[in-house]
Amino acid sequence: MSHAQTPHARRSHPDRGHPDTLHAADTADGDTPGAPAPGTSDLGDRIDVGLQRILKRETRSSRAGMAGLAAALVIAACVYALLESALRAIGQPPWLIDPQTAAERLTALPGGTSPLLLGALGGVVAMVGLIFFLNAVLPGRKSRHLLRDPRAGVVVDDEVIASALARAARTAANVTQEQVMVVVSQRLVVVNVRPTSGVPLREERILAAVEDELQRMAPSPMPSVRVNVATSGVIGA
Amino acid sequence: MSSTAEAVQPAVSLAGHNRISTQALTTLAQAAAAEALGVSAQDVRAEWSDDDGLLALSIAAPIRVPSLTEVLRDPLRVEGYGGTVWDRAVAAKTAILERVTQLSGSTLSRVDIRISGARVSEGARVQ
Repeated sequence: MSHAQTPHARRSHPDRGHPDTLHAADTADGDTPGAPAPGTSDLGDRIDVGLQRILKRETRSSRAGMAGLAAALVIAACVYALLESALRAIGQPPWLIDPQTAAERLTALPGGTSPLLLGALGGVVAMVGLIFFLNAVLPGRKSRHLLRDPRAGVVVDDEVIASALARAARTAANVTQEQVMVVVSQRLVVVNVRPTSGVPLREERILAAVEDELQRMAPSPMPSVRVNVATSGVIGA
Repeated sequence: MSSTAEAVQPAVSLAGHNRISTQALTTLAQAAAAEALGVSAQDVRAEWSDDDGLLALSIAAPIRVPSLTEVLRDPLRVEGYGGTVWDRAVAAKTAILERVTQLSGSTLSRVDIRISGARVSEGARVQ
């Protein structure tokens, strides 16, 4: 689940060979944030630049697959056009359709074709185009947050943050594990609590506990917290 | 009543979680109802349900009544038992609610009582 990364692998830190999330969170708490990184400032700057790049790559999803697919489509279209042009140039009969006839038919549209078929084709092409376009334009964030650490880049999956916040909420509300559900997204934490029947919950106390835990964790970007207390309770929990 | 309920809640600073199981609540309700209706706890059936985050208790139990020959001989015996069956059931609701709230620390919103039978007492006065 956890995902923590040491960007400068050449300088080995024996105490955090495989830092898990809790460990990383502890050290982020313990160390004074903003303490100067070891090494000269020049080296530190270079590491910082590399670190920023790595962190960005870790928190955004890769577009390599979609880009590759688009490139493959374009290459296939070009190869086919080349083939047909070459056949025409050396005077052979066309393989599927020769370029001039294709262009003429294209300009003659919608001659003879049913408008329903044309519309459906257009819709499919527009949908594929929209998928490619949105993939290119949207930020494509992964469900991960960054934790501040003076020496290493720490990337944490949202499930880990959710689990930590659920524990805080559960302790504050004095309910069992099953009665708390936390959903963490980029900018919002939603805490759903089902109270125990007969024991009213104080919403502000849960909110304070969750916010306190979040402040100590200090993920970036910092989400805001919303607490939902269910109206119906659980008997004998 | 409410102060008792708050006193049962553990302090927030302490880690850990206390729970009162449904079984324990049911046994407690049976004992409280048995005490209020003057029957033995095995004869009482208690069920819990949720009422908008509060506890709702429904009880099916017999009730202790004086024998009819005794009532014929002395009509005041009915008063000695606490009035009619209806009056006693209404009074028992408050008694059970307060008792269970006090002992379990949970807030009850309502108590439904169904009298399912009568236990005739032949012996000395119960009061």
